[in-house]
Amino acid sequence: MAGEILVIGGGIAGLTAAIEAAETGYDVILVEKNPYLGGRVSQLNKYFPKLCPPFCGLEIFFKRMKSTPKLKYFTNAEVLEVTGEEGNFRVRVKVKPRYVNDNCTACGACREVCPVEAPDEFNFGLKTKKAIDIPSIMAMPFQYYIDDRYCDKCGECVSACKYNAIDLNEKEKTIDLNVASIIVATGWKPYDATKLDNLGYGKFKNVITNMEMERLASLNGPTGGTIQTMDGRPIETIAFVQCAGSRDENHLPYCSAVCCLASMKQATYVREQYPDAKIYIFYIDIRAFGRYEDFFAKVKADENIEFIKGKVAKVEEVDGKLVVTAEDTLTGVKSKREVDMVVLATGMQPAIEPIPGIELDEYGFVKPKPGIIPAGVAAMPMEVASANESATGAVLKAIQMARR
Amino acid sequence: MEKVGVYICSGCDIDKLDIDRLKNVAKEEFGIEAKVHPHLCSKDGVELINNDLSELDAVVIAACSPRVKTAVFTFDGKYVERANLREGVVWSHDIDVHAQELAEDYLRIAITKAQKAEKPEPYLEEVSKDILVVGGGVTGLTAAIEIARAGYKAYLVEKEPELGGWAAKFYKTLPITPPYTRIEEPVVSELIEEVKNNENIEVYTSSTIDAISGQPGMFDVTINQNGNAVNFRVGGIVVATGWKPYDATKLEELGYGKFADVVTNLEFEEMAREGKIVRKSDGSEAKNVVFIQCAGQRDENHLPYCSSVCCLVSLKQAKYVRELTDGNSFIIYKDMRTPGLWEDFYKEMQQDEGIFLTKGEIKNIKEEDGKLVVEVTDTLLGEDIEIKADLIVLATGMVSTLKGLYTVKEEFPDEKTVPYKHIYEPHLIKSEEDVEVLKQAGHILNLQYRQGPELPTLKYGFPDSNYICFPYESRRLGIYAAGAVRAPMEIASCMDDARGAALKAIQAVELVAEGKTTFPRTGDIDFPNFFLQRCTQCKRCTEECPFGALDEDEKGTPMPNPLRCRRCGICFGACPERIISFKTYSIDQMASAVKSIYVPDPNWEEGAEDKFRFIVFACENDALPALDMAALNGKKFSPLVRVIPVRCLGSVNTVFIADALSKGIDGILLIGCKFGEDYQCHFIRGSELANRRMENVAETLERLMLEPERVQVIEVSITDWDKIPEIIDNFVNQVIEIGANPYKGF
Amino acid sequence: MEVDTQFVKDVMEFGGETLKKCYQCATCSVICPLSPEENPFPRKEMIWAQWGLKDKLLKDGDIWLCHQCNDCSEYCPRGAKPGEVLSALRAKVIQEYAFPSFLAKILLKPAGILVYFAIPIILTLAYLAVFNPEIPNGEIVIGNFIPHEHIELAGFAVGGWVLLVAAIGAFRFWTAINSEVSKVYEYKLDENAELKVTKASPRFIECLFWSVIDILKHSRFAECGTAKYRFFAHFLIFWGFIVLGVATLGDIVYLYGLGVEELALPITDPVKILGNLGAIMLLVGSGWAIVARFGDERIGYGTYFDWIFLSTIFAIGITGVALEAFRYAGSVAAYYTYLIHLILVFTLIAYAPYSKFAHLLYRTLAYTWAKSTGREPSK
Repeated sequence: MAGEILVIGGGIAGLTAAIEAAETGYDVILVEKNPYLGGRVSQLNKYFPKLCPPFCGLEIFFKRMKSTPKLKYFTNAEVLEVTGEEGNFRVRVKVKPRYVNDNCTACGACREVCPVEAPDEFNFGLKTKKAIDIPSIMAMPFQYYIDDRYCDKCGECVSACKYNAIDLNEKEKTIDLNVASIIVATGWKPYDATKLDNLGYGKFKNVITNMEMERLASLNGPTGGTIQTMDGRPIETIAFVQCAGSRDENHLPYCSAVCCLASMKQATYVREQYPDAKIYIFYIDIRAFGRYEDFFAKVKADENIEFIKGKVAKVEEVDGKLVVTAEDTLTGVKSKREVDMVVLATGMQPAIEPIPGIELDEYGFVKPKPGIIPAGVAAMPMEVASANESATGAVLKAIQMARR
Repeated sequence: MEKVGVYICSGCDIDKLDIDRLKNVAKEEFGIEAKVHPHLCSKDGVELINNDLSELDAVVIAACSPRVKTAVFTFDGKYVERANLREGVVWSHDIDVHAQELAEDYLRIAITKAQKAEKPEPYLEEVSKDILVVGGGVTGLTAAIEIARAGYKAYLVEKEPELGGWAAKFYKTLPITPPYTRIEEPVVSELIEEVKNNENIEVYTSSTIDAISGQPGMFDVTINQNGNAVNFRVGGIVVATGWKPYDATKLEELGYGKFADVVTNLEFEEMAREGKIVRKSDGSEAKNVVFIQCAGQRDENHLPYCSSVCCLVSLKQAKYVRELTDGNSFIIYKDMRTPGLWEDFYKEMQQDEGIFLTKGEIKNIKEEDGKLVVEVTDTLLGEDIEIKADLIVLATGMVSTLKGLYTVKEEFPDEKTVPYKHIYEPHLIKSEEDVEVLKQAGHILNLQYRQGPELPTLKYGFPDSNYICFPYESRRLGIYAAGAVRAPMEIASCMDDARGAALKAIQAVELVAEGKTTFPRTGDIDFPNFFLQRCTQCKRCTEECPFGALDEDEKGTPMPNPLRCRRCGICFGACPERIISFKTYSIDQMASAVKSIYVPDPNWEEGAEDKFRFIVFACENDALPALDMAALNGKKFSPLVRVIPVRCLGSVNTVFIADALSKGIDGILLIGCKFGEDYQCHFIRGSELANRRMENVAETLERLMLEPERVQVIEVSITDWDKIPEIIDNFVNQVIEIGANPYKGF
Repeated sequence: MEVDTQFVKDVMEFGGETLKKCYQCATCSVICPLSPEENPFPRKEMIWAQWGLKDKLLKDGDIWLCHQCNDCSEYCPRGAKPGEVLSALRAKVIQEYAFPSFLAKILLKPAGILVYFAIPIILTLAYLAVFNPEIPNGEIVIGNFIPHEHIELAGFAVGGWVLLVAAIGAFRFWTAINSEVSKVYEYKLDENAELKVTKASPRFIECLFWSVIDILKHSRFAECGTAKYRFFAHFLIFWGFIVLGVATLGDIVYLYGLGVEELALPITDPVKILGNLGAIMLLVGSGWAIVARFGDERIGYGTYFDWIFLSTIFAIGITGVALEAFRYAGSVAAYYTYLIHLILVFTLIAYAPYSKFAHLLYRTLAYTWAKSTGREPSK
């Protein structure tokens, strides 16, 4: 019988699950596919409704991790296969090389000399990174890594590193784990907005997604936190397009649960930087459930933020300005707004790729079965607080099979 | 600690400093031969330390920030102090004489702290690992079952004679697992069956709690079962007392109480359970049933929040009408709130040709020819409409069972002024009589805590967590709320929530069994000691402790409960007599660290008049990381500033300020987390208390003829790293303008 | 406000079974290239249909401005298929306005197909019984089998009936759609330079004229995206009918103007060429529509209402061409084919007010109304 708990995914739900389980006294192995922990929330500027930075919580998470020897983690690692049954799973994990070892002090000398510029996916390609870089300023582990899709192994970094931390010959490893239970916290990815062909994403540069907006607003983002159009203009008017892909059988049939609140939050970002900006939020239903209603009430009270009930179905460019159209269903008039920028509130799609041994439902969310417990958005769309609740609850199911 | 080893790393640009002078500080001032390594965090470097460990009690690492390489520089059983030379000096300052002096001071502070630290011993007691679950509804039943399945014993206490709560009274329920496309028979009977048959669950129905005393791991519970007292000891508690319906009699504008055929969703549920949907007025079958959403919810005159479940419930009940009669259902909503996968439920229920939906605002409800008529404006139909209704169902909302109870003193203070800005509804208490009325309204937990008998609430009576990241954060260690008492939610979410809270309760008992605390200082075994002989019974510590850890005897002397403690140090910061200290975080240690800073004396030293000295007390949770981030981004700030990390601004005792000023420090800045309604302080009100204490300090300063600007408190968040250097520099410049501290050299 | 669940059910039965799925996001109103700026369709029609608001829908000209290009259904996030629902609503409206309504009720339901064919078959059998025409020998000349005069007489009778029924429908429809207050205003500055708002006066004839031009050009159809084929197919069928109409006129000119006794025209005759061209257009157009409906689910398969009409046109084309082929081949099968052809033509014409054919009337009126009230597609 195996005793350990495996947590797949090192985003907010996975971190919660892993840390809560370890602090309860169980041995935990966390597997994360990115070279850093923190997942999607590390890309966010602020959380709704408190408008507090995600790194505040992550800092505590990371601190707790550092003082919990029962928690081991692998970054750059992916689960290939799960066999066996509750209490005794065998899991095959591929660990891709980071090429940078624990000797790294994050001094940054390697980055200075690296000649390769590569698109930075952490910033959705809105800026570039070096082939050797640190994922973000608050990354955990706080170490550099080499993106081998771009690195040409010129070796400049190896000579620049004073601490013998870079090994360009590091090889991929496969490890086999024997665990009692598995918490699947693989999270989500933003829905591909180019599929929304009537909303102009990819066609007009100032049509962006809500996740791109998070990066624009983030201090460590491509603009140093300044929200501006892609051609560098300030924002005078901006439209938020709700349900861009969500609640849509052609795209994501379910509601993504967070986008209404996320857009309202982003409206506050814009208001903070541009006190005179006009903001339009086009929606079908504002889903500010529970106490989030307070946040809705606060945003609604802002005279510069207009809520229009009607889904945007057309985004055009007229004389260099973006024009969005929706029918205001309360007045029955087509509502057109000329704006500098359009933010598509794209939804959450389960990020998990099929793994043998883990069953997915019709939408791609993880189906629970004995010993395999989905947590957070791997189970269904939800916001951060709910994801952490879900992850904590998942731990209780997981420890029922594990050995302390 | 007597034997302190000092290790200086010269990597990562630290060698730009004069390492020999640093070694001299250790040698000449502390008599310690420091060792230098060019890459201290490497295997080789750690080896160097490991070789000396048997000779050492404490290790000072003069290298990078304590936030990095933490695991590498952790040595079993040894106290570790970090002097932050990398982020704190070389990465955030131009290397010059000032930076060198800064580094030297950091080394002094670190060595002093290490020398003054003592070896902590855990508070170990024989603890119970059993869990008490309060409330026998779906949440409580689920919690008890899952606790038992995890191998722990559960006590389930329910005030009603039967288990099951509200869900047992429902005709049918929402599904508890996806796909959310169906209406189900209530799951509750299966849960009751499982609870009754589980040997690890002890059930007490018709029972209320007379008292819970003690601390996590050692809660002594006295329940009253039909007048008989039963006593047992548990380690942790799950509060699952659920919700009560909003009082519909307050909804007269929607016709409740005025027309017989206006009922609440609960009354309608009962009707459906009896199999008949009828008009109360004449008993005839109701053909047209109008559901009015947000009957009180999202209305600041009633319940300002959204009850989350009512849209789903009305969709379900609309289907009842279709199943039990051949009538029609109308749902008038503000927003159809079926988030996440619940969209499937909306889609499915909407399919019925006899269910009619529109957004709308209820303008009026009137009676015409014996029928009710609902006037609706702002509809999607392009015009205002009137719907003839046989029956009107008000989708009334959920109220926490804690609402209307006397929870904790700070929420209902006798003196009517609420002491903390995060407390939301101070206006509800208008007189002392109001408090008395509340106290008579009954209790749930009856905690024998000095600060009050229930869980503190946040807003609208929900004992929810304020932290998005930590939803089960509880201000009472070992006690966790779950289900609708905590936030409005449907059954599936209640069951999930039950598991989460139950896990936290289990975790708490496991941690306290080893004398450890929980989040955010999980695993910390060090707890505050009280030197009570010198206590003056001022009650500051017992009042200010955010976690209710301190009780009081009749005289007002604190009675600590170490297992309730979260180790923030707010009591230690509060105590004017300085009698509270941790072994590894003591008044003496911190005051000595402050005093170890070398303050050049202009009377003796050339050039000292430019060498102002400042202390920044930085919260280690947010301000310190923000300073690190600033350094990583190459932001520079005044080298005259010495940053001293603290657990929480609330742990800054005014004596540190006094000591610093008398030593000649020119200014002191406290940088901590945001407080107020959306507080970010991980200890709830540490920064708010610091702020208040510094207001008092300002008065003292004036008495001493010192300018109050010399001591300031600033709130920042962790991502304010772009602003923090500027904030510090502004402060420095402001004080430099005032001039040097006249107490220098005294 | 009275909801009519039966109406909801009827619309669902007429092909609008997806209508309850709509959640009123109004994507359709924006996506629709024909929908006007104010009170656009089809979002409002969807909720009226969901609520069974029959009266509102009967007065709603907008449903006739839809050409079911299905751009709305394509983009509908709920699968509510507004395009199909509007089509069903049109069928329902045809049924409601047709006189006598019992006949409309029968003929518009799949079960009514028995009656649908029984009437012309009985009439044909009765004719055969009364006149007992014999299959002539020798060269195939249709007029030798059934005299032209009989056909013409029957044609006048059926035509008269159809015109009467259509006129009743047209009157009811026109009154209904104009009973809603027009939203078109004219803004003028009066002598005092103050803004004067007056209701625009509809100029019926002018509007009708331009509507007909629009229809001839299929200009609204041309806006369609998803079901672009529909523009071409409809264009072929529509102009096929016109060409056939012209050919028929040619026949009449031959018979009564030029005194031609028999219409067994050679294949090179201009009128014959025109007739054949029309037949081919009809066949290609209707055939295309049939194939498209089978092949592409995005454009909607349609319902009995669509299929009976479409297949009748196609069958008329087939039987017409077959009849001509048999005639040139000298086969007596021509006479039997002719009978079938006649029966089909009868159903097409006699049932026009109760079938999809009626859209010709309602749409023309709706166009006229739309022009008179300014309900032009938003640009």
